[in-house]
Amino acid sequence: MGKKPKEINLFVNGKRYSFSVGENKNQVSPNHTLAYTIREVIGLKGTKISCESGACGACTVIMDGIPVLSCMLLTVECNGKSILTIEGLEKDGKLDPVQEAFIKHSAFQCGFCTPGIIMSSKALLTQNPSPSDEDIRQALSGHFCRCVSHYQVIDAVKEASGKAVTKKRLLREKTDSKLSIIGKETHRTDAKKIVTGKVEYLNDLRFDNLLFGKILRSSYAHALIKKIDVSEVEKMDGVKAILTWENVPDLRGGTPRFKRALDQKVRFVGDAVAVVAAESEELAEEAISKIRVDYEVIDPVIKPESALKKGAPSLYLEFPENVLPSHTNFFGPKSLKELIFGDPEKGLNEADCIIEDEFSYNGIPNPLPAESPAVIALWEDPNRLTLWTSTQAPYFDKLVLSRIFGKEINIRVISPTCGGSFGSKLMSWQLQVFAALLSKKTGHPVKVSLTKDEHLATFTLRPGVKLKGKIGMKKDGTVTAVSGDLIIDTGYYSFTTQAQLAVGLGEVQIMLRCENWNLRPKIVVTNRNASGIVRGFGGQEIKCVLIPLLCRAMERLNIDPFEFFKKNFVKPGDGYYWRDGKWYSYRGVNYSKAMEKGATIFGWRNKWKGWLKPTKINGSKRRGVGVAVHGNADVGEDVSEAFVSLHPEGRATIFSCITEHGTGQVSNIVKMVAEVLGLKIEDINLSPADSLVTPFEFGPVGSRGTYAIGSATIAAAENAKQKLLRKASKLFGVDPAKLDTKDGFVYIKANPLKKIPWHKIIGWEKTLSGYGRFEADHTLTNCMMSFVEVEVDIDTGETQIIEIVNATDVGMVIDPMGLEGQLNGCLGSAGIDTAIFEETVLDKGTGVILNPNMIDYKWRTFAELPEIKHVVLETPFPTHKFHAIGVGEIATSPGPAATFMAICNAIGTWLKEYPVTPDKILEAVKEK
Amino acid sequence: MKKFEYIEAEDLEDLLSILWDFKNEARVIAGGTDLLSIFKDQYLLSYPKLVVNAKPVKELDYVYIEGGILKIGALTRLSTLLSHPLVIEKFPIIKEAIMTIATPQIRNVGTVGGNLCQDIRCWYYRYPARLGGPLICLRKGGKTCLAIRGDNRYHALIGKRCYAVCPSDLAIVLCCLNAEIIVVKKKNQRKLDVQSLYTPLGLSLQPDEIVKEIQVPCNYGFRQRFIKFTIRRPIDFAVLSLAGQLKFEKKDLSKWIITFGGISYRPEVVVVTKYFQKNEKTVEKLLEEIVRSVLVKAKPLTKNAYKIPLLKGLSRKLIHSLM
Repeated sequence: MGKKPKEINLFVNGKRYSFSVGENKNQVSPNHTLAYTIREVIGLKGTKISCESGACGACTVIMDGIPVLSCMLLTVECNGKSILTIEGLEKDGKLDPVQEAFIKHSAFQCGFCTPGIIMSSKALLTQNPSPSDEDIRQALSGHFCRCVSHYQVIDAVKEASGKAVTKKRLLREKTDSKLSIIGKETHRTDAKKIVTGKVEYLNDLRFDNLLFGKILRSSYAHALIKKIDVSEVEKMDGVKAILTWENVPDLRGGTPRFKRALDQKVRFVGDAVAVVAAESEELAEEAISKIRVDYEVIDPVIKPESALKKGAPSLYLEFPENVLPSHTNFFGPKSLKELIFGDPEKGLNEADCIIEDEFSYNGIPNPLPAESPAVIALWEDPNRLTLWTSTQAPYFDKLVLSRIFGKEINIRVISPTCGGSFGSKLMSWQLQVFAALLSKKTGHPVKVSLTKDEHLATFTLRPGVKLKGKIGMKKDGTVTAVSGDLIIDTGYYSFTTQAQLAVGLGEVQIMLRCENWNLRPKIVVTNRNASGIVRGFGGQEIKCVLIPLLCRAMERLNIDPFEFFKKNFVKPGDGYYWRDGKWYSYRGVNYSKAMEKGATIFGWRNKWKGWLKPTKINGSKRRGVGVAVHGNADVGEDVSEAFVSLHPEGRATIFSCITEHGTGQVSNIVKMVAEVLGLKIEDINLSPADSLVTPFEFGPVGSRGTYAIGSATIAAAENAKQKLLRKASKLFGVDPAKLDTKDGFVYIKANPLKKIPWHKIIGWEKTLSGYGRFEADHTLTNCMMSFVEVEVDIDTGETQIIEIVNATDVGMVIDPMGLEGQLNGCLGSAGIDTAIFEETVLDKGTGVILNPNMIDYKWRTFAELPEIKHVVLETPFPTHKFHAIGVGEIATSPGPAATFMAICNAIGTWLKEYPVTPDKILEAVKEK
Repeated sequence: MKKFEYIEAEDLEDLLSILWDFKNEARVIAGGTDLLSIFKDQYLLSYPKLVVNAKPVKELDYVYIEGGILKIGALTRLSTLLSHPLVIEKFPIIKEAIMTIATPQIRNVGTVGGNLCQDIRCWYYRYPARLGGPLICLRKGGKTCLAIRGDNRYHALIGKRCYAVCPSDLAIVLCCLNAEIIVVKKKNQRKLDVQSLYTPLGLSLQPDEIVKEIQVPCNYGFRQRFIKFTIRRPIDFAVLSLAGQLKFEKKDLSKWIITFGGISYRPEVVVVTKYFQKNEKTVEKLLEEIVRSVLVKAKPLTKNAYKIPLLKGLSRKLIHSLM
């Protein structure tokens, strides 16, 4: 009866693999998925695992000609099947046309989802060699990509099918640049590796004797651990270490530094109770299921309003009222923690209109990079700790961990390519501490990686913000006063919420010239998963509640919001208090021109019909438009250092602790150095992002990559170049100023034919090194204005985004395709869609996060893409060698408020909270 | 995933014998896209000892018409139906529905039987063990349905203690088409209408029973249409779904058969026969009648009352598209 297979044969990429069925190593067990077998047994790591529940498409392979999800098939079911993985596409050293097209169109950002997307594209083209755009969207509709490579992927698939691709999304004005690499369409330096599945992310690294850590998580939102019984686990073979609050050192993180890595108290559903290291993931999972915990349950405070009530249960003894200090030492003694200056009372008296209202942005969405957070730690006695971690900024992690462990521990952080972060993975210290302590106990390298549901339920969310405020405005759009209370819900602790508040308060002033402020924030802790760093860092959240308040005043005074934002955005000579509490005078470009061009491309003046008026009505469908703006003066934040060494053969190596995490910044600094040194891109090497071999680097965050990291690296290259030219000047007998270098030769500018190769200048057994450093500069801000048109069906409450136009000025484009990808990213990473459907759903009674999976957590699919255009001007910024400034980080930030405004205009009434889901629209329409 | 034993059924008889012997200890894997989620998330209190692979049972993979009835084998993949000429020609509504189900990769392995028999999507019920779960709700021996006092935006308007909704889009369409389901176990076979496959606390199947075949009569209406309302497309399960067909019994005497998903544990059916003229007034009258009739027992929970205007809005669209 029935048949128990004894042997499984798979034909992977034309090669036969035979396995016996059983529980030993190198055997296939019935509970192994095909994805596991392909990656861990056969060793083809190009197939990625992300959600592991059939909703994201990352693990797609082609089986007997059709695309399937390898995480949702048991290997034993696939006996005799032919399987094609990403590694099988390359034939005789030649890439498949699909792969070539992906490279050509830079159809990826972090690249983690790319192998799966390529496999579905390949299957589509095999079945249907000439697909329509709609066919492509449908075929790829099961693929998640959080960076938003969607548009460029569709271009690539069209290209591969032989159709003409007419790109019209990135709108640049013609520049007569004399530069040879900067601003040109070049391929990412890692492009080939990405499309062939050869990029290594954290889970692709292999270690001998690796142990796997798993976390036992709390069932309660608020409870005291009375007893933990691990006796059953201690008996298990293959379980090597158990951490509980009772046996770990008192290591603390957060702002202020009070959050224990493992505590006797649990403060949200899913909080860490114990951590186990075992020889396999399966064993570690079994082990944590055998730990018995007795809790003393405490009433949870889930909503900030309940946390602030008198007599509410306290999360921390140190903060009995559940309010954290708003100050952060990180930004110095005067870190911006409120905006109180001028005379708000007088301002309100001078206003033509005063509006008082309340808005909330409390959807606590998850930035949700495709690759879940993960770390591998190796502790070597007595005090050496090495971490391989998925992060965008390894040196930043070293900094954080040094403060937690103390300076006597010698910490080294290495990051392989990072499968997306959007800021969030900078908050991995707890996982890193767990892995480190487990390694210390066992002497083995230990990996702690989150599953996607852990990622969704226990890792970085956006802060929740509520504003109860008052605006005074004059008829000419001058804001005379802003006053109000900001309630910032940070969840169970704060990592950098104070810093986000400081930056957000600075960004508010960049958007709004106003002389009188009284904005009083309160950071509240609640019994839910923590909020923290996400693209838009504080400003996006505060804007989302402040802009609707401004809108109500504009409505009363009949002011066009586009004109309002254009008038009020910071201009050269204006200033702002920045995050350190210091006043900075802005010395960048005037963004009005970019805004005007954006308005023209969007057709703002035709579409704008006045406040709360739809642009167009068609049956139950109402179109509406909105606009918002954001700017960030952290483009020049913090310190960067780099070395550049010149090799005699005409190559150069950059030493910089910068990780590729999807923004393309690694390629961009290569381009900058190549331009400075007159070398080809392929002649530039980059050190691994390893804090042991590179100098200090704060990391590619907050759009500081172009200006801060770029300037440090350029300075290092120029420093090396000057040394080279000085040496050469002796050989030429000419002043170094009269020399330049190209293609590994130094030549006389006036007579380029007179040239000497580098090796004759440097010598074969030497290198020449340059050092560059960038010091913080907050006098520049970037800018992004987003125009959004929506269509709302008032019969169903459904909102569709029809068109987005983003407008910015970047001084100089470094990489056009990479820039476009970053700007398309406004639809990902908890961006625009937080206005309509992206949210983490919290059970307000128990604190359980109800949608910790990729079906119930909503994200944008290939099937639903609005029209998108980006107006990009290039007015030179004098402070950067190539006159450039970064902008990627803020792509997500103005969109939600613009969309919110567009919906209000479409349906003709004001809404109060994000996201505007169908239930809220139907309710608002009914009330109206 | 925890360990389990695995065997492959050689044919239908073999499959039924295995189920007869193992009853509650065995689970059948067909497409597996739902079953593996159950194993991975361990949201149920029990874990099977044995997984029986039904894929080798080729005799349940077929689509043909016989005696005016479209017969679909339970192991037919969703993607097979999507491109099947009989479906495209005679039952475009089935194609319409399948295009909204999950994603292309899931449709490539997911089966018709699996779609009908998949577990409910209630987020309390499905909350994973790994995150401090599972949650003990009514279906798992708890005292109440956790959705009643919780976030019930996607839950039923008509509940019988449990407020989970029927997750299958295909069920809504097949019910509208008046299909029947052949259910088999060892030495026994029975026929169910689609509604009867679902009970307020789960499927009406015995542990050793499986869906064998779907029979759809070919006396389909003049027009057929499926509307699924979701937050985004595709991937999502229906917030509300409607399948409708319009038949003309005599000249002008129209028969409207409409089934609704997302309002209770099963497809809900409304049939209205009316002399019909194409104008807004009769549309509104018809709409009133349909909505009143389907919502007669509706008692919204704290967060799902919006489904009432939504259902009205979608019904209006459905009527218009069938006219």
